[in-house]
Amino acid sequence: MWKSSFAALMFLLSYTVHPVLQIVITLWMMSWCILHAKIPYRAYGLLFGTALLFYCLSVPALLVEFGHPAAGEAGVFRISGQPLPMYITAAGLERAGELLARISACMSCFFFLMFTTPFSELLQVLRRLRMPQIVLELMLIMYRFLFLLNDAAHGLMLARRLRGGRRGYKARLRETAAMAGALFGNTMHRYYGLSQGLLTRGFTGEIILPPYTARPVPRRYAVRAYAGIAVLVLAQLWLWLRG
Amino acid sequence: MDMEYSLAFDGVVFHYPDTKEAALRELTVSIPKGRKTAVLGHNGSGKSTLFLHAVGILRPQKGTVQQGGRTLSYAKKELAALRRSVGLVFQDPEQQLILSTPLEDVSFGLRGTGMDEAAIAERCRSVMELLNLTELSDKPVHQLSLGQKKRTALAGVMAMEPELILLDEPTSYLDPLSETQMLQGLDLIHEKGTTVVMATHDMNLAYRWADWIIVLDQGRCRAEGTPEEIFAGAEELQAIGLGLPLLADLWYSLPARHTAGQPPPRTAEDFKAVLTRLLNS
Repeated sequence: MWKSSFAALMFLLSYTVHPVLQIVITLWMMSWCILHAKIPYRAYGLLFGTALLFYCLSVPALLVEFGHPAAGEAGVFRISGQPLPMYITAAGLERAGELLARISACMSCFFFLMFTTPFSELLQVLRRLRMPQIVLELMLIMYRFLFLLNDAAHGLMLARRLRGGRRGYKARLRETAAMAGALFGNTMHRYYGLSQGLLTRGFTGEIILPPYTARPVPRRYAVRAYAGIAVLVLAQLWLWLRG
Repeated sequence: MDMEYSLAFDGVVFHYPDTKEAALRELTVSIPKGRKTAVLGHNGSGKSTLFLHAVGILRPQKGTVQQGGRTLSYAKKELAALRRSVGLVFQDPEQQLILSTPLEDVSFGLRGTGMDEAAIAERCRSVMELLNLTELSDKPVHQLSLGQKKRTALAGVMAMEPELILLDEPTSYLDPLSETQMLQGLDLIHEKGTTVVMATHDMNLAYRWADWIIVLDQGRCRAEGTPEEIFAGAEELQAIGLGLPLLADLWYSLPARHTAGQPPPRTAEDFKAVLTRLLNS
């Protein structure tokens, strides 16, 4: 609960504070995950990068304007000589930068929670927050299936590689489609198996989760967290007062 | 011999949809109470289908299943009671591991019974200790080895303290150490008075472990009896392609004057002792 509250507070700050402080939050939350929780750089970077891909896809829409810059609006970069001139404005760049800082900060808070909290504890916290039981059950089953799917996909990939695979773009596409089909079949098979398993284990329409048990927070982490929050709030106040 | 039965199947017929052959063909067989029973048979002989009938997941299209002399009616309450008294451990443990750590998963079924938390914790602790899972109690399930997953699945079933535990190929894909740990666990469960039934096609394992054997072939019961009775005649087993366990095969290949009237030893140690005696005499 403590960790979830900390992450929620940081998430709130990530939305409201100055972009410079958002970058500070990003780095701070990253350090909790990578230095304290020992999450491998590679795994963290891969997930962070994958999530940022969505940002990258939306950047052109934020940056590029078509037509001629309005009076008083300077184009930072212009492609002229086209039937419809394109340009990028300083305001657009600033907006994209601010968005990047906010996304990174919010995402790092979310990753902190995701990487450092066991899934079952997260469910217990959500239950305390009165999340509907059906949503929790769905989350639980989806979480179990993530690993089952991963195992099945890994097995299929390995089998394909061992059999040499096929060359050429079209052949690869066909093979990928066949693999997706096989994965679907495999998943359905596992779903059928899991529902049988649930029945034999006395499932009566509701998965009863273990009750919430609060764990003590190490003092050094608590001190660091409170100090960090205080510094962030003070820095934001100073920035406001400075105008 | 007069025996008490945990479950009895009488003329059970079951046909899976879209298949030509019936999985169970008028199967009549009983599972004796308090014994270590092995159900032997090839893939597709009906072992898993029999187990799914035993816990009421599948219902016979013809024939009846009886528990404690009463024919199952498959009413909701009766099914819930059946599943509390008969536990099934699937061949693939992923099928029945639901929660994210072994400790939580073992307690899954107990929470549905309305037991209080202290009693649940105590029951889980003792079962996990028995199966050597205490150190793994908080490890994410997806990080466990296959052997550990199988033991966790067994612990989840054991925690419910059923009268009868059915295990579908419990030692398949296990390394020798995990197999030994699994069998030790099963012996401990049996010593506590639980009837244990294992489906397998490993003749050596069945011969070594079981004290009652049921042989299934093409959905029918071909033979049932003690290991000595079942493996006394190799012809019938060979006719259905099962053959003899290694120790029994070796025993019957010894000169008849040394083995006459004696059943083959059940373990390698017993066999060694007999051979030593023969060599010294």
